[in-house]
Amino acid sequence: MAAGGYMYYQFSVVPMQRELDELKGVVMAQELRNQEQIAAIAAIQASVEKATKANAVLQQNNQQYETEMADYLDIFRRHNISKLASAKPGMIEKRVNASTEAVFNEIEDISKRIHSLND
Amino acid sequence: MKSKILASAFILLTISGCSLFKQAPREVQIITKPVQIQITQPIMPRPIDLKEPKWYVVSDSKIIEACLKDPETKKSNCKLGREDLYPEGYTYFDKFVADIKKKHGGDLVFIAMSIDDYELMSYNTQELKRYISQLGEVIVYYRDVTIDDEPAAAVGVQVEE
Repeated sequence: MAAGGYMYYQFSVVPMQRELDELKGVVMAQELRNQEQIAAIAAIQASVEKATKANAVLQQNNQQYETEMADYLDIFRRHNISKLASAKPGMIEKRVNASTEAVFNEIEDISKRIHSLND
Repeated sequence: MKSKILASAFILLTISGCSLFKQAPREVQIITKPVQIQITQPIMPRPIDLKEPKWYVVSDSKIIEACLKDPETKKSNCKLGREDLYPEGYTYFDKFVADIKKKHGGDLVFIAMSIDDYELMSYNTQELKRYISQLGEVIVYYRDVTIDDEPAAAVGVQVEE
């Protein structure tokens, strides 16, 4: 009887207990993985959000540069520079030189801004 | 009797598969975590240093002399007359030729550009400015998303098993 009980314990209960322990370990590991995956997804979402915001700013600024350029070139469409230069060369000369200086200064400022990014 | 005990012990160990010596189950470790990619920010290029050329706008229009200044108010007053710097009928072209000759030791040499070509040059300069600006924004974008001040900057998923 005792031997039978012992045999039953050894062949049925012990393997079940071992399997139960292993399954407990697997569940714990899965829970840990689940938590870490949630954290990873949150980090990826934050990264995507950050990139999306930066991209929106980039698009907006790029659009502004396109508009600025179109506005500047519109001056030539609105005025007959040939006629003005022929009639008032002195006035146009002053404006042409001032505009050249202004646009060169703007380009210098843009490059200074990029240069000082790491400061 | 001794041999029976030994035999029983041997049989017991054989049929139980040494399960009496209980071993803890092997621990399974599955780790998934975001990995921050360390990107060294490059040294930015030296700023642009541009020198302004002088444009001459020349036509055959006559130069209208500037009004004389009132010595008391120091303001131009055309009632007082006009400056007499140039001969009668002196044009902007005449002045330009004289200036250039003076600059180049009597030689008349210059590079000319038509109004249309000046407009093209303006367009090209604006196009370059736009490109530099937009390229700068792209640099700012990449810098913002890769800078390591926030953990979400560059995330990779690594699974360790």
